[in-house]
Amino acid sequence: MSNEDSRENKQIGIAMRFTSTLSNNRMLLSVIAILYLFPLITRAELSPERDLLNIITQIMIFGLLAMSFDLQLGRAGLLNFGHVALFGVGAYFISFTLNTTIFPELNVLPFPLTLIIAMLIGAFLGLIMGLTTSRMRGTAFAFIALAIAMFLYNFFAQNPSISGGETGLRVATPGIMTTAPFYLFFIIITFIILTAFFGMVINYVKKRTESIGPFYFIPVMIAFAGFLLFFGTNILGSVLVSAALVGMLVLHLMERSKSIRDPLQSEEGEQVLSSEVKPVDILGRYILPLGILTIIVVGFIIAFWNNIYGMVLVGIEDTDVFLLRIPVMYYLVLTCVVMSFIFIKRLIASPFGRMVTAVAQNQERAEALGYNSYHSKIVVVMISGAIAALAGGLYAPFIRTIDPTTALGVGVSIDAMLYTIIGGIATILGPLLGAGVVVYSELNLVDFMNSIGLPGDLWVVGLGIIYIIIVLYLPLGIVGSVGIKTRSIKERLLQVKIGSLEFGMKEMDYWVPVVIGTLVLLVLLLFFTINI
Amino acid sequence: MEKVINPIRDYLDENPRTRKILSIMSIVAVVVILVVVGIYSYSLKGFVDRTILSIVDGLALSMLLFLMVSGFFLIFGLCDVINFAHGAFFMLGGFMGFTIYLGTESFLLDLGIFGTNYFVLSIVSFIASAIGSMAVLAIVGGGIEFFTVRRLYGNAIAQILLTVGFMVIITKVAEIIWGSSVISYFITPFSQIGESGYFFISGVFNFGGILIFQIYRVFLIFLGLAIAAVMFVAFRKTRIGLQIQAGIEDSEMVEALGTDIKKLFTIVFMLGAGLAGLSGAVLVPWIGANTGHGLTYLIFAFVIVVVGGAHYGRFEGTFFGALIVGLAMKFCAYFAPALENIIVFIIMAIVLILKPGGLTGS
Repeated sequence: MSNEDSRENKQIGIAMRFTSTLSNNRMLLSVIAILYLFPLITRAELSPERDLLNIITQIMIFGLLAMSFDLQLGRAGLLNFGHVALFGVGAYFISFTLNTTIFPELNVLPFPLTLIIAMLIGAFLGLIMGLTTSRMRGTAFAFIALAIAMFLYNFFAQNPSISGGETGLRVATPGIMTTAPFYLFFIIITFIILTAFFGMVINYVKKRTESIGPFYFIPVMIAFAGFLLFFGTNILGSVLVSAALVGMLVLHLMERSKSIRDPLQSEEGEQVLSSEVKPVDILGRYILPLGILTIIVVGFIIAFWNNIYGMVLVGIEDTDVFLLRIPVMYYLVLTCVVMSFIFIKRLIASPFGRMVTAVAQNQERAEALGYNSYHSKIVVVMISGAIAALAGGLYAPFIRTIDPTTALGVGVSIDAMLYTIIGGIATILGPLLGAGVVVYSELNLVDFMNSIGLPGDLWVVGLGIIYIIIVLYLPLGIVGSVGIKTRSIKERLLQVKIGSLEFGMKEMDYWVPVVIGTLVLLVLLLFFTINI
Repeated sequence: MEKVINPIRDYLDENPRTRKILSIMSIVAVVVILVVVGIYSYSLKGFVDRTILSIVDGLALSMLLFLMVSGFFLIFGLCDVINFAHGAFFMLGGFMGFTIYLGTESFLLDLGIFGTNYFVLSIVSFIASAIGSMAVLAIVGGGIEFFTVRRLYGNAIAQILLTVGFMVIITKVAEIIWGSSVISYFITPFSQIGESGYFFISGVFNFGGILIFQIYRVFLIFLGLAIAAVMFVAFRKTRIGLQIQAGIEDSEMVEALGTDIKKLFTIVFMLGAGLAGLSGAVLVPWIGANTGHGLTYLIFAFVIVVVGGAHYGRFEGTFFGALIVGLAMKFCAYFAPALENIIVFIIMAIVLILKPGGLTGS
């Protein structure tokens, strides 16, 4: 960081720190922004996009469960087959608060509060599970936790009066989710995140002053303009985004000319204190970027105004409508997943996370260094339990009927394990990705197998074989195996040349393929969903 | 760490005799209270009848569990592999026994060697089903060890993940072939002899009242005892049995003394899976073959190994663990049906709190 930069830092302070945080997490921010943007395309009437939204919601719930599972397995080295118990208590607690017949006195609790209570209950059960880790070391933890889960399963299965028995317990939609303000709250969050994302893009435009810069941000903006053209309800939005693209090009040219002139300036007047003499570039620093940002956000609002307005109207007119539920559920789950993701990321990078990893790698050494391995394991299981209970609490209103097998059966633990192993153990993204791959193929392959005359369950056998191959030959899963190869790929990307143009892709450019890839993937999935 | 001052524990530590007397007295007191409560709720005759029934059923179940769990214990003790696929082996053993019994029966009927001597025919089919199921499962288990588990020795978590994968695959294949766990398969309705099928021990002992029990359960007790006795003798007297016993104590030393430990591991895996198959096959005439058994009996295996003492335990520990779990389950089935499926976990919790290493552990 140069001298000038640090002076700017002091001047702008918090805003600068905010922009640098955004610039450090470009890829994460892009994916989050696109995921938040996606449900805006749903209209107020029934449309096929809702199916895809539903599928993504399910993937995210199971991804959350797998993330919490991986927190134990990948980070603390605890293989917990009773993980489903943590999931199940959350699911059952939420369904008790939403079902009017079993515990009517719980119905008065507001839904967001019940989610927090469910997390506390999950953490408490995690504490009980964690206490057993001292009794039996290592792999035997799997027994105890499994026994706890089976105990809960048998208890609920034998008491149909509280568990709903074979037919399951009906879970009503939480009242708050059918109201318009709850939806608007998420829409506001969406636009805040979009603003942050495009602010990051403008910041990128100002920083990437090489001649290759436009080749990275032009496709992104064109992709967004096309997205608005296809899915927006008003063509003006797309036009405004295109106008913003022109503004970005102007900004790029201005910054470029400045950056070319800069070295000459410093050579000429070494004695002059440049900062006091140089006029502050108001146009390039404030007016143009903020103007572009405003145009883009207004463009997005105009493009999706009809959809948002229609949804809000439905919410105000008829509070019990089913249609509103899907985007709102999606937003709720997405927000929880994003928060958990960032929390887990920070947790692993924290001193506590390092300590947990140290204990998992060599318990004796960590204890000799003075760490309390027992406490760290208990805390990890508790945090993981809270997240798993959150996943359960989101699952109950999503699936709308729960029974002991789907909420407390050991199969759920095994599923979470499959997602984690296939996606990549000890990676945060891996479990989410594994859940995505497995759940999406589960939903589509069963029908496909049935249609070609094979039993639908056969795909599970195939999945098991793939899983065994991954355990034997790719112990790090998809994400982990890709992560090993990243370094050589990065070096190769840095040296790409087409003709005389150097397409050297730096670390700061990786968000571009991520944005375009995510958009293309979502649109492709959308077309598959509509056609099937 | 600070030491908590506990005068009662200190006193008991100093006087082990008092401790022993106290623990025996407390057990006796609990038993007496349970007996009194039982007599009070069911009257004397009802209590005695139920007790006899529970003991017969519980012993039969214990023998069966012992056969299955000894396979699990062998694999765990020697190879240090927690075999999550063991329940699936057991379930597959049940279906193998079922299929082989019916196949042998129809084959023998076509052949006509035994004519109308259905009793001998049934016994021959039963023995064939037990041995055949054992052989099939031994091949399956040995194959799994030879091709996959062998690569992962020393990596405990990866082994568990691997065996869970096999559990999923075996269970799913069984569900595709035989349907979900709603249906249990019994021999008699599928048997081709007579109108409603024939099995060589299908009668009951009827002593009036509720005191009726199938002869097969009594037979099962003796069968289990016989196989257990054969196993005990084999492990004490044969060369390979002694090698396995020594390997459980210290596998590195056994390897250093010139035993091919890899071959031994494969043999133990085959033996363990074969025992699961055998116990699955003899379960069929009583409880039936069901695709849901895999997970249920896997949990029982865990509980028994934990109760009996996993790490330093011997076969005796497994035997007593199986006895405790089987008897407790059946006593609960007759006296407090709500507790039947939960009692095993309660027992495990009590044992873990009082003796973390299991009954025979240190």
